[in-house]
Amino acid sequence: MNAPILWILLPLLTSILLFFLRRWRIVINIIGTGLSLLLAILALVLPIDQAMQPGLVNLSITSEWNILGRVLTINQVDLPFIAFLYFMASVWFFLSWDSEKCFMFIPIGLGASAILISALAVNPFIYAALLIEVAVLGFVLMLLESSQPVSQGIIRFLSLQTMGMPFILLAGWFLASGEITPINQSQLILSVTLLVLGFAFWIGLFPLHTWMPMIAEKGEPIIVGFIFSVLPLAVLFFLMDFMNSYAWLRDYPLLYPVLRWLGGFMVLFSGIWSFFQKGLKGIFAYLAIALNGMALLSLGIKGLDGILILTFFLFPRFLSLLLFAFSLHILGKNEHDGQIEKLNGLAYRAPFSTVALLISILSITMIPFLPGFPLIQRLISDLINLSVLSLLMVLLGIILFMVKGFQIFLQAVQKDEEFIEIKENTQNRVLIGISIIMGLLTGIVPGTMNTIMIQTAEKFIQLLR
Amino acid sequence: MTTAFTFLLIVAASGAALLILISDNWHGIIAGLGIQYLIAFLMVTQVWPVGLAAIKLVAGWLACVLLSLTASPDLIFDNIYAVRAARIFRFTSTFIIFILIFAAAPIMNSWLPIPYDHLLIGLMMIGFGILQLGFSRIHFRIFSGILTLLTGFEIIYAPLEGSALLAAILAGITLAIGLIGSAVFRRDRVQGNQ
Repeated sequence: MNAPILWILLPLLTSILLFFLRRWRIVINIIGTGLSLLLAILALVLPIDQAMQPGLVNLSITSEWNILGRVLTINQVDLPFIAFLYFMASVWFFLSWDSEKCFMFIPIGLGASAILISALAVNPFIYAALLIEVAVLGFVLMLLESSQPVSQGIIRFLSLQTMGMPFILLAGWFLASGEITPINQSQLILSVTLLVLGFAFWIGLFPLHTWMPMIAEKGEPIIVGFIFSVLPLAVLFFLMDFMNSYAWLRDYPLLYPVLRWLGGFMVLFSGIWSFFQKGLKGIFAYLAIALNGMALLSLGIKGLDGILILTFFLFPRFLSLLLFAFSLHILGKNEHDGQIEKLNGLAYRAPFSTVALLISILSITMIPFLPGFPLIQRLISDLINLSVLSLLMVLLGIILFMVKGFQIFLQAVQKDEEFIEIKENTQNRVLIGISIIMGLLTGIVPGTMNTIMIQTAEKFIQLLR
Repeated sequence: MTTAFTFLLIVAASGAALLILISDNWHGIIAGLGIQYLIAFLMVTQVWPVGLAAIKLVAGWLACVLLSLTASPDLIFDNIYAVRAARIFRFTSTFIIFILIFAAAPIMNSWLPIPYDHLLIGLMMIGFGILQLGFSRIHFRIFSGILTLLTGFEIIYAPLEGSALLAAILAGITLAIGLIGSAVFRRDRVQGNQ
């Protein structure tokens, strides 16, 4: 058995099979969720390149697979990330069970997850840029299925992501050639500029973020949540791979300050924009941008501390997006457009959704016991010594999100004559309840909850120094 | 490559870009895209084996076929786009891009060690593609802009790296964009009919 065949080819082939079964929603939901969960569990328990003896069968999994003259390699250090990605996919797939607009979501979502894993497994790793673009094309198809008429956000998403790919490929070429021949200062500046531009397109840095609020506004919340949680994660790991691979990029003195400024700026502007939003969907998009900004900020802290914060932050980040998207999904099922002024009485009619929304928004605001608290508190204490400018931007952004969170809370507890018409069924309450408990546990005992996440950092051994 | 042949390719690339930018019917745009893929093939054969370069031509033309499957005149009709002043504006913008690229290409060639004609024609296509993306909200024109931009990049990237996997993934991306474009136009038509 071969690791890339198990974690890349098998889900890809299954996604093709599910495409033909897409009219049987329950069937594809069970297969998609089950397979993703199984692959996540296997990534946690199976060893690679070691002989294993379960009973009488001697099963060994090799790490490499040759395809068209290139090699896909999945090593032991890649498995925690693979487990996390498939775990996220299985949760999103499961939540889509009652959505009428998600026919293509599971088939394409499973395929796109496999492609994103192949992006992190391909050698030379620069080919990952092309594979991420392939996954983006899958996401576009997924969004198209749930959007009638075709929203301008989808087209913008496609255009901006496609424009990012050439920058990354060229930057990769410059950096790779620097390993062979000495590179001069102007080439270094050029390659870093190309790299930053490429990632700015991909991760949604202002003013290239416009696709995010646009697809959040028109798209199905579960699909949008899946894209917001999976795509930036793969992009961030690709960026870390870049930094891990090239010593002189890592040692470039401006790289870490630039990452901190960009991250801080993303938190600040998303805070400002979300403050002026009248609808929850817009806030959802800006929350995702702020979470990406936080991830960039932690990457901007050199050494073990930054990588630890980043990997610890991945699970709270996922929970924030999950809780917000699921609340939006419940509101959508009740024909609610998510306008804040129409949320009167939400806390009485749908208490679980209200708590989920508030935890989601406030988890990046350093409120104790919420999922993001221990990590953001650590991030801020690191920033005090590293960059006052980034610190100020982050604090201002956080305050604006906090104000917005309290505005939503006040609106939700308002007792007006016209109460919001909304129903939460038992399944929804159970699902939200489990997510909330997980979130609170992450805030209270972060070390215990993040034992798997910390293993993802082992891949980037050079960055830990 | 001979200077005359390079000159011919530059003229053909500019003509194709102008055809895409100024044309009011989808046949003209598809023809322009088809010519661009032929130019890309001729350029890439200079640095890649013909068999590998042919993948680009086949994938590009297939993408054109996919786009034209669901194309219709009402999909690209735009009042503002069709007026004479708008055409003159687009023509002037193309001319400015042309001058900018001729001015910038020698400097860029000192950074990117690829044949000058590859860089020049690739940059021209990227520039025209971005113009196309920025000029219109009409989906048909946006998709042709994305394909033009990608073709330009492929011409620049081909001398830097060549492998079967790269050719296969880039061809797959081109085809997928054609497929998505086709699906988008079909939805636009359904919406228009409603």
